[in-house]
Amino acid sequence: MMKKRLMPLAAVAMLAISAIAAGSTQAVAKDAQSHYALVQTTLEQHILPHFAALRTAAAQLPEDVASTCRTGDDGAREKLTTAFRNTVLAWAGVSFVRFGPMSVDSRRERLSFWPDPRGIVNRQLRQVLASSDMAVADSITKQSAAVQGLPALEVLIEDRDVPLGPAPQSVFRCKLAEAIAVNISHIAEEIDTDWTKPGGWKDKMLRPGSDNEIYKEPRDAASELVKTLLTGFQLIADSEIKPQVEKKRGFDGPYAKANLSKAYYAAGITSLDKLYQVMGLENFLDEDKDWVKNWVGGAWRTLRESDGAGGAAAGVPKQYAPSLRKVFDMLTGIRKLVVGEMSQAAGLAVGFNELDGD
Amino acid sequence: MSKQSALAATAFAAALAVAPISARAETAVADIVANYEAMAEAIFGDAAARARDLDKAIDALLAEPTKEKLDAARVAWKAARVPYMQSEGFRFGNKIVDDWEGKVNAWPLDEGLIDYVNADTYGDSSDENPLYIANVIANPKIQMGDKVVDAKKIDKALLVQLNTAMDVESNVTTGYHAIEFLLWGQDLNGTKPGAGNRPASDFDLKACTGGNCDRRGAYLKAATTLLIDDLDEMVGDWKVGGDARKAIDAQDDGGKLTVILTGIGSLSYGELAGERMKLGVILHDTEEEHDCFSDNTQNSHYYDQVGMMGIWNGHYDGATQVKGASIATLAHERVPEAAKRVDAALAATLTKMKAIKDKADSGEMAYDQMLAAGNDAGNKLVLDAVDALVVQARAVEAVVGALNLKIELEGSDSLDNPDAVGKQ
Repeated sequence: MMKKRLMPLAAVAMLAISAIAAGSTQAVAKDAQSHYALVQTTLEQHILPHFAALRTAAAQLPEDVASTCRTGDDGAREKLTTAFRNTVLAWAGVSFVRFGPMSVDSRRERLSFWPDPRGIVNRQLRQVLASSDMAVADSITKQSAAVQGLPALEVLIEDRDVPLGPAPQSVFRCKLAEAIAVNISHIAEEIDTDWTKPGGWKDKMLRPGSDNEIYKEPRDAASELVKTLLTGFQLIADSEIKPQVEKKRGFDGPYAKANLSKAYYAAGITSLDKLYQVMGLENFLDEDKDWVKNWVGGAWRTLRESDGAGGAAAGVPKQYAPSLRKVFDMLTGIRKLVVGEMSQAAGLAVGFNELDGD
Repeated sequence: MSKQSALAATAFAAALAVAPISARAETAVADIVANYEAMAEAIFGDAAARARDLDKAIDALLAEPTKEKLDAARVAWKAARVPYMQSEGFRFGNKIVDDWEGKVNAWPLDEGLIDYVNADTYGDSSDENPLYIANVIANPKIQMGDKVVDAKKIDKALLVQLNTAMDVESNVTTGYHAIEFLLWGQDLNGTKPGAGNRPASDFDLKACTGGNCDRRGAYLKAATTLLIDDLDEMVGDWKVGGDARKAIDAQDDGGKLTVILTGIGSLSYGELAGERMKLGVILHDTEEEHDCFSDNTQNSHYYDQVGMMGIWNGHYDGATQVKGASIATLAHERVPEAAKRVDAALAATLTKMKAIKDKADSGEMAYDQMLAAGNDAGNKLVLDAVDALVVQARAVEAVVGALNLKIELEGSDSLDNPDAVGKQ
């Protein structure tokens, strides 16, 4: 069977046609339609709900930090722990969706500066705490990304020596934690709004055309989503799994202080799994590529059985826990098949991403 | 820039053509590649020549440790960076360069492994690095876990042994930045004006400051001669019959072109825009400055861009001159709209880089000052260049797509190669 070769036409989106020879007009229109449908489905079933979930989870943080600081009681602290957990796990579901609203004003780094192999969060936060400079809390959005997001809030929440509460030694910490919580909530809200507002990023992706600066054709928007999927595989494989396999010195899993590393992995994989499924890239494969679907299906089963730390996922018998090496290989394997088989069959280009540097 | 892990983990590598590039009456791929290879040989050759100049200046400094000689060595170091930075566009597309790069340009480094540091600003320990303040220059024995390394004699072998010691990437003992630290010392000015200010007497055997001047001199000399060795190795790889040329020549035409474009795209986006520039601004942290001891970062970034433009246009204008068939010409012949977009993006980035360079060179605002929290104008200068680099990467990507080339992601070298997945 001939491989599909995508050409730019977007009848569906009523776009200008630039017909480059190859493939019939019908086939070209079909591709454009497929790409448009891929984008629409992915936005509606994955991207938008996940950012809405982050916004909702983060919105709870300011109140719960304030309450803990005011009362210092166990109930408030427990509520804050839950709100923090919910926000971190909602974040795990979108951490690899780095384009568009997430890329504005360094929102991603400001929300969650991780991985942090050089311990910048701890170093800079120590300096801020030592200064007790209220102006820093008042201008948190202007400070280093490392001290204004979830990892910094985690340090403050989890510090058992000087816990958040009404005690005099916690006054500055509370002021800082409250500012960070508000900042996190604002950023999550801004991202969600920038996606959904009229003329926002959702509209940009669904209305490609010559007057659209970013997406000229449906395939441009679809390619963006494929790159996002690949970024997800790469991030989990290289940032979460590989350092454990290599026994990297000083490696802390994501949000390890709050004991959320395993849950973070599970939330990330679940989100990535969903993204992969709703994108439906396998539908572009020719019939003789069933082996790809079979292999990928098996790989996903393996990934779902792992807790991301060498053990079994919740509800999976211990003896079925895949090794981290295997998890890494499965992530990398699916990524390679998305690049080498699926995106090619779908006529979608993968390009450079911000993980290219080292 | 390398943090020296068994990287290529995130670098783009092997490339295949989706459709073979057919032979037409147009710029031949063989000519483009031959010129690209000649450029690499020339640029690395110039880098090696400037490193030899640096070595001579260091000999003069060690023989006569005066401020004038130290200044001359610093000038030579900055001059040595000019051709080297132009070589960086060859890195990501060519595995042989990427694997080697950590020996010469690893950064950032925990300089306390090399020499004395200011404890107030640097601290005295790190959870991530047991050798954070090991200070090779002051200590003839280095404790590494349960092993003791004999550091009585500081020579090239010792520096190689200690580079990335204990699997910590910031344990950088070799290359440009180790030499930079020895010539300038720590920049203790934060985001205020001023670079490192090591006195020449740190190398004075008769009136030694900082202690261990003989060992400091030995370190500086060893690091510089090692740099020359490493650069010579890379020059050899790019000579006719060299391994770098062989690796490219073994690929089909599409693969060859993708090597060239991968180098430009990956350096633009993930490396330069991300690691080296954006991170410094969003963290407002001078530790994230590339040439942080010498305050030469504006030049390093600028010449990276000059190098990428040279690769695109097939033109190197250094001590050695090379000009010939280019991927730009081919792209203009085949996909003119996409090619024009790259031209425009490269020019726009150069303008932004030049603005940074001019501002820093004028003495009005050094690169590290641009990173300061609250310095909106400085932050903007850097972020404008970051944005331009991202646009540049996008434009290169468009050429990759328009030419029907395919960039393939590569997994981690240090783990199993999952190439076999399709065969399971």
